[in-house]
Amino acid sequence: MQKRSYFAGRMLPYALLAPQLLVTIVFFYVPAAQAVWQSFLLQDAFGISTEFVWFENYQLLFSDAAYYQAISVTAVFSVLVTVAALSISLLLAVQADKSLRGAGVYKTLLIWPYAVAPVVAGVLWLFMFQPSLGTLARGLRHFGVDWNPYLNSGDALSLVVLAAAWKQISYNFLFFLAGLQSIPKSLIEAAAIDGARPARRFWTIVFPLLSPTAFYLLTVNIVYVFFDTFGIIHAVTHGGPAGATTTLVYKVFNDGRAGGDLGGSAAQSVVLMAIVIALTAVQFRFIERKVNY
Amino acid sequence: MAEVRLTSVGKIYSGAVPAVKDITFSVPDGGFCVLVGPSGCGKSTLLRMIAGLETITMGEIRISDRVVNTVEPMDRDIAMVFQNYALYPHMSVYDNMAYGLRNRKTPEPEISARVAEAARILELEPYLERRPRELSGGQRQRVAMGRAIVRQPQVFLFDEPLSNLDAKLRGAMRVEIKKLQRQLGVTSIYVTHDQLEAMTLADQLVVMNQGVVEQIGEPLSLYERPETVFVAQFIGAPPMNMIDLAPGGGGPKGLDGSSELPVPASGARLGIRPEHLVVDEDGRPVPTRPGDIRLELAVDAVEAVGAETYIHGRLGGDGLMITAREHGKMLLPPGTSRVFTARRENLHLFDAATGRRVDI
Amino acid sequence: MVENRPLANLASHLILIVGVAIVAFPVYLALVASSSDPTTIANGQLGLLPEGHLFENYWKVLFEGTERSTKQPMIVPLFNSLVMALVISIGKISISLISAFAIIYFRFPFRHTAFWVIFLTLMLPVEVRIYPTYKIVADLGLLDTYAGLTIPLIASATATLLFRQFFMTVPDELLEASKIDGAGPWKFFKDTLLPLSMTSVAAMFVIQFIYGWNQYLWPLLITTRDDMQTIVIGIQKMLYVTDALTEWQLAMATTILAMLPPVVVVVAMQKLFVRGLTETEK
Repeated sequence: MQKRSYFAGRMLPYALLAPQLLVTIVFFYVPAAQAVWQSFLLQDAFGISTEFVWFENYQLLFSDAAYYQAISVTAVFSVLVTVAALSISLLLAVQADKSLRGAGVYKTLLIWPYAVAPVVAGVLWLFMFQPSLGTLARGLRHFGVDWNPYLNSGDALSLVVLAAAWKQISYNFLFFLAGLQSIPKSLIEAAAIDGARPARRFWTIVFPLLSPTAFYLLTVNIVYVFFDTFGIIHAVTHGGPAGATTTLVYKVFNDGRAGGDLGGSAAQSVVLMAIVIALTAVQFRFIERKVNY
Repeated sequence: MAEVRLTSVGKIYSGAVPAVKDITFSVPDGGFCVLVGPSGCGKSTLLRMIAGLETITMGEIRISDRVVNTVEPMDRDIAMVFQNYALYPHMSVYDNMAYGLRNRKTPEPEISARVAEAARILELEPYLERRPRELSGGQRQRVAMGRAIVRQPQVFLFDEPLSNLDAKLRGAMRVEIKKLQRQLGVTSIYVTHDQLEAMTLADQLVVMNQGVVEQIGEPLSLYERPETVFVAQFIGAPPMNMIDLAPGGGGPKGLDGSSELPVPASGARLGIRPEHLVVDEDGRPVPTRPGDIRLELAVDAVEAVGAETYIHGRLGGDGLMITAREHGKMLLPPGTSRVFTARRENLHLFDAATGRRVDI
Repeated sequence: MVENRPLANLASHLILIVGVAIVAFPVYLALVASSSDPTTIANGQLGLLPEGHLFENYWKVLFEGTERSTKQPMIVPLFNSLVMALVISIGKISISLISAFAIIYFRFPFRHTAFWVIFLTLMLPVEVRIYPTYKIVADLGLLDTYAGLTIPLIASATATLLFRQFFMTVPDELLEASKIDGAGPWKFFKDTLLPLSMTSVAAMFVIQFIYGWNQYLWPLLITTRDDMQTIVIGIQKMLYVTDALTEWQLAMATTILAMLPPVVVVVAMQKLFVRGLTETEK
């Protein structure tokens, strides 16, 4: 990562790096370190004395049924959103890649939801499915479905899954389309001459060549569900009913806001940190190019 | 004036083998010096050291009597033409040429006068408002030259400036550069790996190999009297034939007359240029004098290119591949055996151990 | 594709049209709602065609505020969002450009360390350090300030990586030619490197503008005053009103207002956006 030629300068490079490093250290590393430190501390109810308790906060955390519920909610949420968003966007990208007339128009019409904030996506879907006045909720009731995301856990989870998947389609679509367009047309033509019909060509040629993109998107989607869907949940369900939509991130936020248990909240943060590091490490295969020394 | 003098110059990258070592030569004011050698021989590194783009770890470099070892590139009063031209892609041709002058606070009227003059010389006038990407390769090359000219530096440095052009354009630009350099009279140092370019451009040729200078001199004197095996084989095309001789002067089968040569105790390598091998025509032997060498070749392939003919044959029927160059057409059928003669005064002899020239 | 089968093409068009319709429908419905009056929505009678209260609703939400909930005219949060998005995007780009410049064009002790310190922030999203970061911002007295909203978010590993990547592709000879032409670090940066980076900068701007505009958790924590809210927070506050009905027509108008600027940016700068996205993330 070095040029053959460079500038001489003793202090200048440090001065150039200073703003970035300052922000990074003050607002990233110091708080992260504090979270780790606090996760080993136990504070009494009045906040007067603190005690170093090693892993007690973690033991408490992992003996808490609510925490296991958050883990399973997050897992189910991730799987549903990822599967829905990936398969729908792959289907659309494959159609758009067929060099149809108007492919560019479809692209424009499909990518803009990327710009919509998750919370806005949540509110849009909540409005359609608001049990008493939502247009689509009325439709469901018309067909005899007793729909109420405020009271029914399954309904609540479905609603946030729909909103989260809806927003993620555009991102996945873009990457799938780029991936498809980078496959040389001559390969497809060779397969056609070899007698492979379109469906077979897709599964034997296109899909394997697309798998790096798909794998990359898989990790990106999981990270998205873990972290970026906070806004949807906060605005639509507040984690309810009865914790049915409380993800790990929402739980950190909510428990911490209630106050009191600083150590427990910090332990939750540290577990999340470990998850991000693991996910990033998986993604690292794809980022490696950026850090090749 | 602007003489460039290198004294025992060397460079060692941290811990590694030296890139160049112990280089001493000087280029007189107005001289055209070409550094030539195979890729990786250190010629570009040396040029970049003269430019101030690489640090100098040993020795000293002087430009018109000033030691410039630690002087910044901009303060050495040099201009450089890069292999990929290094034109600023976002600036017009005019601004590319003017940039260096503006940085030196040259008054704007003077800048436009100098750019106009350079554009006139290089026939770039119609393109001054264009961006580099809108120009052909040859035009870009001329802009790079223009950028050097407008600065009116004491020294021009050229780093393989023609190697990105096609063969025809390269030939034409070679003539242009030579003409321009003579006209402007600016001391120039030029790096190339192309021996033809080197021979035609240089007043002074510096042949480098593996970080050291093999030989310095006028192009033709290097051709006529190469001091080392490396120079002998690098200068001239097709390359000089080399035949190994045993200490007593004994050579391979098919070689006659080598025992007359002063072969040193360590053995020798006998060099004969293809154009110095004269074939016995129609079985009539070329009259020989003492010390001449005769080679019997079994003809392998014949390449007739019109004005001359290259004959490739095996020494003694199945030995070393030897190339001869004959005038005109000479359509020898492959498989026939012919005798070739080389005059004593055209022979080159090198010590097998040191690779250095041995006088005959 | 290889075959040219009209029926298959028709099917493709149909799938895409259905896809576009699903993607667009929620927004269309929000648009219809924002043109409606409160009773129609509250009675569950909202149809599929726009009604006549569009202008009235947007005027009210922008300049008068809701009747219940925060009563904050949304022009203020809209402005706050704009400030936040601009400061974050321009700030991120600026500090990332100069950090990448330092890392690529200088040699100095701890250069690799500095790079890794920046790079590893990829692994520390705000969600995993919510309260300690909040506490630092509170201790610095930056709650309810623009500085508090923006500065903690302007460190950027992705932008630094992108610019670093781009600088690596700039030929070494350009720097050398600049040196011979008498340009120092600052002149080289300003005259050569920056003009060459403009496409990357613009692509990065699109991505980071959207990132800044759509921030949710951070402003939720840092702002308490209604006049320091951002627009996306404003929507959320409209939804939950004690003892009263949500004013959906106004909430939906706010929703449209909240997504208009970033959507316009994406559509208008589609090429740059796609480039920025694929280059930063892959």
